[in-house]
Amino acid sequence: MMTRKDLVLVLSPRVECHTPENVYCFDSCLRKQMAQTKKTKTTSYGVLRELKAEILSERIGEEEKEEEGFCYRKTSLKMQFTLEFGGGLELLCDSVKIHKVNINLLNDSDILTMKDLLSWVRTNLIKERPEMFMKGDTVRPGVLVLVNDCDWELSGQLDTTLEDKDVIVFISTLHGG
Amino acid sequence: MEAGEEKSKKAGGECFYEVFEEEIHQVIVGNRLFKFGERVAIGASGGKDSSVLAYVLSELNRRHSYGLDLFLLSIDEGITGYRDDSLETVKRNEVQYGLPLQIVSYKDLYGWTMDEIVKMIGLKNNCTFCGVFRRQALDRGAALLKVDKLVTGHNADDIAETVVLNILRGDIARLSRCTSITTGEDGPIPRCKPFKYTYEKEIVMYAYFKKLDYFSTECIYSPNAYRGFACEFINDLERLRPRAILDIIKSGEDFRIATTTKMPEQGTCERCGYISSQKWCKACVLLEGLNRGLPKMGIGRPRGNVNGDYKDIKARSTAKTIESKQCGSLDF
Repeated sequence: MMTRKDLVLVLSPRVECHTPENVYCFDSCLRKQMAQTKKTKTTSYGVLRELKAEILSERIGEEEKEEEGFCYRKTSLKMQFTLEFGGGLELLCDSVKIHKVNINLLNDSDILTMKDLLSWVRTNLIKERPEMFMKGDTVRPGVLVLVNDCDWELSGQLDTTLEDKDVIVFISTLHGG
Repeated sequence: MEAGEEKSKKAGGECFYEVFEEEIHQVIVGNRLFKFGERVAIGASGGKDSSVLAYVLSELNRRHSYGLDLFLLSIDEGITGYRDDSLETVKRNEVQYGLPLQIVSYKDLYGWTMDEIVKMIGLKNNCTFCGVFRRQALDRGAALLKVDKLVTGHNADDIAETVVLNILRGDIARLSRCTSITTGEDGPIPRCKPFKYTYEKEIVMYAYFKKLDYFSTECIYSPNAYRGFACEFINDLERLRPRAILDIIKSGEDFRIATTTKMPEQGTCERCGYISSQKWCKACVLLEGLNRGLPKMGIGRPRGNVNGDYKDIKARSTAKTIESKQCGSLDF
């Protein structure tokens, strides 16, 4: 019998949040579905099967269920990163300049890209005014990103693959000189 | 910027800052910015551009023997929570780079701090007051230090923004001057901008790798500035096509004004003797407005004579067409 904890929370874009309680579903359809299913305390196996099918067809969402018989678990990869914020960006993260973070990756591919990391940062580290850090999918124009001391534009920007123990620096250039 | 990065990657192991410093050296030598033995003041605000400028200039002065006498000149506009913090950074720079520091404040020069001015005029047009006063303050400070030249840390992004800003406001007089690397040669103190072709990103990266000490917060009044639009535009452009910034500067350099356009003539201010294209220089006009409780004086399109004995030349342009309006008198 699978318990609540065993059912792994899979979410877009394939990164599990640091604290399992704070998972976010970025797919609005699934969110609606979750809302619907949460209304009824007892969820039928049929709904679960539907969700499983959706997850398997690469639409990811989150749901915690206490139902029996359903378990979906992927291989997990833990990665450690050092994130630095400069040029005023640290004010968006409680004035902490350096963050050492652990990210659990749940994915078919063992690859974590900058795109994944950015959503993770927006969700977990940016405590206020996210529009100062990100615009759409990527960082706000005017924010310099260095991955292991190398400008990310040279390594593919959002598609840059990250490895364990990488150092990523975000510096804002948007202030007087 | 990418060119710089790629240069350093190709030149097997040559690091980014060597390329950066070499480029600045080439700009200084190629444009003949300095003469041997000159006394030069560096406009230092404690921000990234001026800190990097102070560091690089003192480095190059030593390395290539420019023979310059360098000083740090800082302006205190009286903005609490911004300028008082950044001045601490400049004081640290004085010690770190061993350059003597001179601080000039608005309170001493004009009797008003920016905070007091903003309380009076509201949150619009703050940069007009601050910018005009700062220009004069820098000249006054330079005169106190008895220097021959002033250098500022304006970078390529700043100049591209200025070009776009002047186009958006129809300010032809400024448009023709804003891309010159040295300005004011016929005035009291010439000023030059060695970072004219350096991207803001390069400066930030240099400061980051060299672990230079600088203050990085936006001026608290800047969110209301018109320049913000130009800034956002330039940043978005840079993302799509980084070369656009240098190209805008090139266009600005190549602008030629039609001979039929009315251009203001440069004279001197009747009240203070400062260089001016009107009877009174802008700083005197603004100060007069502040002291008489007329915060709108000197801002926006004139509506006739404000003061019996002060004739605003702009007020005489009653023509209806845009072409015949005096340069710089269009309002937004």
